[in-house]
Amino acid sequence: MKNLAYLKIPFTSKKIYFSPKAKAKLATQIPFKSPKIQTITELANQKKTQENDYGEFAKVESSRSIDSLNETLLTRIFSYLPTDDVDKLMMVNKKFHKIIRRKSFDLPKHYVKEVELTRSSGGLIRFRMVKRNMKTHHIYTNISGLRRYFARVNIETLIFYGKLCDVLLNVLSRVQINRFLAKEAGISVSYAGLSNFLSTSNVRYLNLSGCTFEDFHSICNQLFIENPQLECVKICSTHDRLSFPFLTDRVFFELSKMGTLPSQLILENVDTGISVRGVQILINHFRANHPHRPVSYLLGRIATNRIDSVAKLSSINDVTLFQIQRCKLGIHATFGADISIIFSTSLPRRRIDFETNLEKKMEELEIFV
Amino acid sequence: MADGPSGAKKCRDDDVLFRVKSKEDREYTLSKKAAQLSGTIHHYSENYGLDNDEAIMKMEPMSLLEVSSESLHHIIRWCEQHRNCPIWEEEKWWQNERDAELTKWEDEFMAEMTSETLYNLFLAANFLDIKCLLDKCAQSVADMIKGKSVDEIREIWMLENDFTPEEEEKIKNENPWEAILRYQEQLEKEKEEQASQPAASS
Repeated sequence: MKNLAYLKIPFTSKKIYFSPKAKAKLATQIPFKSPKIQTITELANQKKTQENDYGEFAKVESSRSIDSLNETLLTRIFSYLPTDDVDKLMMVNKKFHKIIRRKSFDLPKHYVKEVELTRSSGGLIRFRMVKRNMKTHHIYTNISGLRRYFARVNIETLIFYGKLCDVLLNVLSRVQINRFLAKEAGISVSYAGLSNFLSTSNVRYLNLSGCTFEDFHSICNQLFIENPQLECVKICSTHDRLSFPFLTDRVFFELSKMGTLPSQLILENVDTGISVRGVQILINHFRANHPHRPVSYLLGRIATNRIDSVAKLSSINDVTLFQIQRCKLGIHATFGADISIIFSTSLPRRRIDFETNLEKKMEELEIFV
Repeated sequence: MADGPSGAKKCRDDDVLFRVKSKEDREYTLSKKAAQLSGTIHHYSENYGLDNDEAIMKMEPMSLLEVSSESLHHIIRWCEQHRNCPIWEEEKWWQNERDAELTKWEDEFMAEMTSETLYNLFLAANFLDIKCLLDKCAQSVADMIKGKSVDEIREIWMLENDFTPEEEEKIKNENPWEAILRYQEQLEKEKEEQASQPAASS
């Protein structure tokens, strides 16, 4: 008996006793966090003995358990669980089932894998929701109806089609959204509305593909400065070239100071106020602070010319400049290969690269075609 | 009892001390700032006119009949560590304004709790209405449940399955999300009906 060990069941005072052999087996199978396994020398106080699956010597001392907590405390515990676990708890016993059915709306962290919103010109919103278990629900509603579905929900990906306005963004701000994608949407939002939405919903991945913008002010320096949580931003236009003159070098300067430059910024078919000075800031920042961080920048057409580029970029240490063409500028870094800059002309499609890592010459990358 | 994670804050000599008594009749003191984290102590202070330092210094110890000495010891450590935190605002402080050092301290604090201590601490935090501690305890327990199957949860917590086979089958086929949305719609309908009733009667 002296060699026996026991496992305290978390949040109860129950103990399961087991042999050294069972202990070794258990060490890889213990289903709970921070197991407290201790060897004991006395088992004099044990009250109740019961066999279970954990081992031939398993003994359980019963007293308080989670079941004896009141409804408020149980609700508080359940509120920290993702939806799938709450669903499972509903099947544990009648008490849990009753509480969860009754208190579902007090549970703040329902997790939804994907939501697709399509807003028709008449204002009707088609709302498709995919839960983590891939069950899909279709709902038709309007903006005000959307509010109730979005109360206290965590959404992994939200895909939006149609016309995006400030009122709708305000409704979406009630939700935590990790990735926000607007596809071929008409974006008529103010910079302030968009910025507020991104920060309140804590959006980390923003993708605006094939969208049209009513206000070129919507994408500006301040939007990025106020949202340092953004890790990946993609703005691509498939038709007309977009223009965001208020997105300038200052954005890189400010974000570099804060140390929160996104790891990916793809601006395709876009004109901005960014110049080669901004590129210089970027390269210096990543070289100095994150030499091995995989980053990917495509800055659209930047305001620069060959002579200016050669002069500014040559001033960066350890950079070998082969040739620079005026046109689209892409910056790409691979893990461990340091930063490389790729320039390309639009016609003919030709890439001239120069690299910061002299040992490894970058090959032509197709991602910028 | 252990002093807890390294760098734990303690009362300073010049602090105004609030006196509390555990159910075992053992007296403890905590700084005024730390005591303000507890809603129960806050209400007690208001009701007994403990609104100035002089009154607090002359006070009789506040009896906490629901709280054991061990739990009270841990609670005082928690409150002293969080005494400079802004007053609790629904989730915001907890999620957005936390510094890494405090989080580390909290994790160490929770790691040293045994299951029974955690249970008692949870109840004591509820009694004293310390929201940040309540949430940390709830989160710790929730972490133990995450990712477990129904049978595992029953086994770990020694819970009895009191569903009949028919009921169990019905619940399995029920889509919980749909049920929740249906319930929400029902609630809204009831609200609308209630709102329309006085209008109709008037």
